[in-house]
This record gives sequence, C-alpha cells and structure tokens, in this order.
Amino acid sequence: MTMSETAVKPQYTINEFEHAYQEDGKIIGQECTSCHHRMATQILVCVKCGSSKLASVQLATEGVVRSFSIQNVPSDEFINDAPYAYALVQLSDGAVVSGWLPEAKSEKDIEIGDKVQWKKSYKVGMIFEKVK
Amino acid sequence: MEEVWVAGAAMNRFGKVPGMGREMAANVSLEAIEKSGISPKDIGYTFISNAFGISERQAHLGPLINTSLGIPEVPSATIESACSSSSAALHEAFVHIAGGFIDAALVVGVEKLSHLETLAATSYFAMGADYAFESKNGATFPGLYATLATAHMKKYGTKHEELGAIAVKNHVNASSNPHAHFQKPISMETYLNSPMVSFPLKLYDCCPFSDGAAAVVVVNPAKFKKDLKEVPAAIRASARAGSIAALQDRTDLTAIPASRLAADKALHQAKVEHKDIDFMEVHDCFTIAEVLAMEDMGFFAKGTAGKAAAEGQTRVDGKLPVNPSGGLKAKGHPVSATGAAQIVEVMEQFNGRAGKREVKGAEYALAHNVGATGGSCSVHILQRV
Ligand SMILES: CC(C)(COP(=O)(O)OP(=O)(O)OC[C@H]1O[C@@H](n2cnc3c(N)ncnc32)[C@H](O)[C@@H]1OP(=O)(O)O)[C@@H](O)C(=O)NCCC(=O)NCCS
Ligand SMILES: [Zn+2]
Repeated sequence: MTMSETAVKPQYTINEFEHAYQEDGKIIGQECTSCHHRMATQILVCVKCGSSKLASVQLATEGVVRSFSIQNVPSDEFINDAPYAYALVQLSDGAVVSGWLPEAKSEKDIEIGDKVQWKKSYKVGMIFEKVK
Repeated sequence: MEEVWVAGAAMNRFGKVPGMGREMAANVSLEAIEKSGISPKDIGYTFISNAFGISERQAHLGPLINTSLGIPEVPSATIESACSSSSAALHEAFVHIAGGFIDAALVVGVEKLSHLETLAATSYFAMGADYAFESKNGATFPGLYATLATAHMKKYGTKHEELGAIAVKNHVNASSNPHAHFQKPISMETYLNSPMVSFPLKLYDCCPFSDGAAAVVVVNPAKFKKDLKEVPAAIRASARAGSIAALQDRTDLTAIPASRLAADKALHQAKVEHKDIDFMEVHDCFTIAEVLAMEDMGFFAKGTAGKAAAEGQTRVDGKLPVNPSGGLKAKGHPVSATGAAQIVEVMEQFNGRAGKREVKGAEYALAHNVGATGGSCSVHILQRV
C-alpha cells in the first residue's frame, strides 16, 4: 500500500476554507454524517460523536450573535479597524463561526441575539453586518 | 507511585525586568535550588517553559540554563502549554519522580515581554488562540475572555462591580507581595473609571504584560528528606485536562470545561473535598477568569462567584481566600512563569513568609492554571508537610 492510499484526507484544507469566503462567496464547513453536528473549524473526527465520516457542506451566511466583545486594542492585522466587534455567530443551520463587525464600534451597536449577515470583503477575516 | 514534594521555589519581582529571559531563568533556578537544600548536581531533569521565547530569538533554553547551573549533562526539555506552560512542566516533573525515573527535577518558567510594544505583544498573545479560525476573524486574547464575560453577564446578571471586587481584592493582596508587578491598592472608583480594553473588560480587569521568572524544585522525599531546608509542600494531586480549542465550537460560553475536568481529577487523586482546600491560586488573567475558575471547579454554584467575591468571601480573611499573591491580575502574568509562580506563593504561605496576606493555619492549597481560553488546564493540590 502506498502512502497516498492510506493517508487521511480532510474535507477541505484551511487554505480552501479561506479561499471559499475570500474568493468564492461562500462559507464552507463539515457535517458529521452520523450525528449531523456542523462545524467550520477544520477537523478530521467529529468532536461530538467521534465519527470520522464527515461531509463538506456549504454553511448558511446569516445567523445570530451568540456573544461578542468590542476591541479597542487590536492586533496588527486590525490596526486600522479598531474599535470593532468580534462576535461568535450562530449560523441559521447550526454551525458557529467567528467574525467581526467593523460597524459595531461600541456595546451600544450590538447585542446578543442580534440578526447578522455575512458580507464578502477584501479585508481580512469574515465580516458580518447587522440585519436592520 | 513515589511521593513528590516541592522542596524549594523562587521568583523575581514581576514587571519590567532588565536583561534577557535566560538570565532571569538561571537566577531564580539557582535561588530555588539553594533554598531547597539539594545541590544542582542532584537535578535529574530540567523542564523549562518559555512560550514566547521567539520574541527574543531564543529557543532551546534548557541547555543554556543547565550550563549556567554547572550541570550541562542533565537532560532538559521545553514544555509549552500557553499560559499554563510551567504548571504543565511541573506535571511532567511530577510524573517523572512519581514514576521513579528521577529523584529531583527543576521546573522553571520565564517570559520577557517588555521589549515589545502593546501592538506587538497583543499580536503575540493572539497566537495562543486558533489563528485561522479565531484571531484572523478579529479575536484578540482579551477579546476572547471578554466574549466569555459578555455571555456570563447576560446569562447570570454578573455585574461590573462584582468583577471590580475581584480586581480590588487582588490589588490589595499584591500590595503586600514584594514580588508583585503592581503593589498599590486600587479603589472601586479607579476600577470603574479605567478605560475599556475589550468591552466588557476594562484595563483593571486585565492582567498586565509582565516580564518574570519562577522556579520550583521537586524531589522524592525518600531520597532527599534529610537535606531539605524549607517546610515542604507535598504534591497530593497533579492533574491536567483539555477543552475544545476554539470558543466558537463550545456549547457553553459561560464555563471552561477543562477547569472542571482537571479539578475533579485532582480532588479525586488527592482524596480531599472542596471544603478541605484552605486557599487557592487561580488563573485570573482577566477578572472574569477568576469567576469562571471558582465556579467551574465547583467551589461556587454557576453564576454566584462574582457575588461571593463582592461579599468578601474570597479575601485573605474570607471563607475561601483566592489569589492571596495578588493573582495574575496584580502580581503580573509573565505567561510561562505563572504556573511556577503560583507554587512560589504556596511555599511562601507554608513557610510563614506571606506577611499581611498570610492565610492562617493553611494546610491544603490548590493551584489552577489555564492555557489560553482553556484548551489546556492544570490543577495541583499541595499539602503542608
Ligand atoms: C491591558 C493592556 C492592553 C494594556 O497594554 P499595555 O501595553 O500594558 O499598556 P500601557 O503600557 O500603555 O500601560 C498604560 C498604563 O497602565 C498600566 N497598566 C497596564 N496594564 C495594566 C493592567 N493590566 N492593570 C493595571 N494597570 C495596567 C501600566 O502600568 C501603565 O501605567 P503607567 O503609565 O503609570 O506606567 C495589556 O496589558 C493586555 O493586553 N493585557 C492582557 C494580556 C493578556 O492577554 N495576557 C494573556 C492572558 S492568558
Ligand atoms: Zn458526529
């Protein structure tokens, strides 16, 4: 048996995940074919049930804010964007992703439970906007 | 399994420390060995922690320290587990001695950060998170704990004033700790008026960027009991656990699963109950982290630890003193030195050198050290011998 026959293949590489939201206009994730748990973070084995039978899926692009914080002290990649909100977004199909809201400059601009929509952007990371 | 005792521990004053990390590490190592009563030649293994050594263009610190201590032939390894690095190193030392492989070990953690600007340091610290999925999407380190704080405040009604009580307490405790980064008490007003770093966390909710080093000497008493100069601390439990790495993949945003798992294991190992613990050093990189630690380890019901702190239950003279050293918040947090520094406080307490922050008659102490947002966690339980 050669290496390539036995090697584990992830559903997507981290590069492909990033390419999908940066270039292809979609958020991709995996769904466990046994327990249907959905996750965007690249994994090889389901964290819920231990199954390695995962399928690559396209995730929803709208959801609600599970929690958030407002960054006044950014890292170098966000130096020109602070303050902004970092949020954990529960997408409407169940997966949770990290994203940021350039428009949310203080806690008055965002609340847990707010409806948000992903927006393709040339900037770093996944940007969300509040749905009015 | 062999018994494992802490025989000596030392740290420098945390804060802005001149010189290089390797120098600090060597200095506190020799001090800890001298305090213990054994000699450098007795060390069977050196476990080093220096998560951000790369900021000084330095890796492979072990041989440098061992050479400096005159024991170049002794094996060494670097143990990295983000902010819980040196408690992970202590766990390795424990396992080696308990398993009978060696009779004595040196554990040393060190970090040099003050040569970095706020921006560079914040960028380094973000490395402890999941870069591709969290940091690249806007998470900073304070931001991730702030996200936990937002969820905790929403679910349990935890108040700024409760987090503030923790900051005020830890600054009071640090004011009688000559090794602490900050040695001035602060008022609730100062806390409430401090600038927002990452809503809902203010400047005084955060631990500072600190330089510092701490070292711990652990021995098998069957071999070294007669040589010891300090009141030793027997390690009754050395437990570690993990949680899902990224916050986005966790079901509960108001708890750190690894804290509960490690504490459960530790209490079981030590055959003690919550009520037996006389004081704890917990991982308060942010005030909310102290709330989570107290709740997740089962010392307070979920949603009640903030109130308990506000009532004074965790002050040095309270029912369960938490962070008599001043904690990461006020003693300072040189990432990889923190786990070992918690053990230094235990030894100061057991040897009657804690002065105004002494927890009278303490027999059992618990040390809780979290890596990043809880991807890793160590809990040690120590008993005064
Ligand atoms: C809060 C934070 C952003 C401040 O950044 P900084 O680079 O230290 O800020 P500055 O150097 O501008 O400090 C401004 C002043 O506030 C003080 N200060 C800084 N951090 C402080 C803190 N956490 N608590 C109290 N005072 C603090 C400084 O001593 C300084 O006072 P001075 O002007 O009298 O000397 C930074 O300390 C931080 O990010 N802390 C968290 C670190 C972290 O994430 N650790 C990992 C956790 S596991
Ligand atoms: Zn599954």
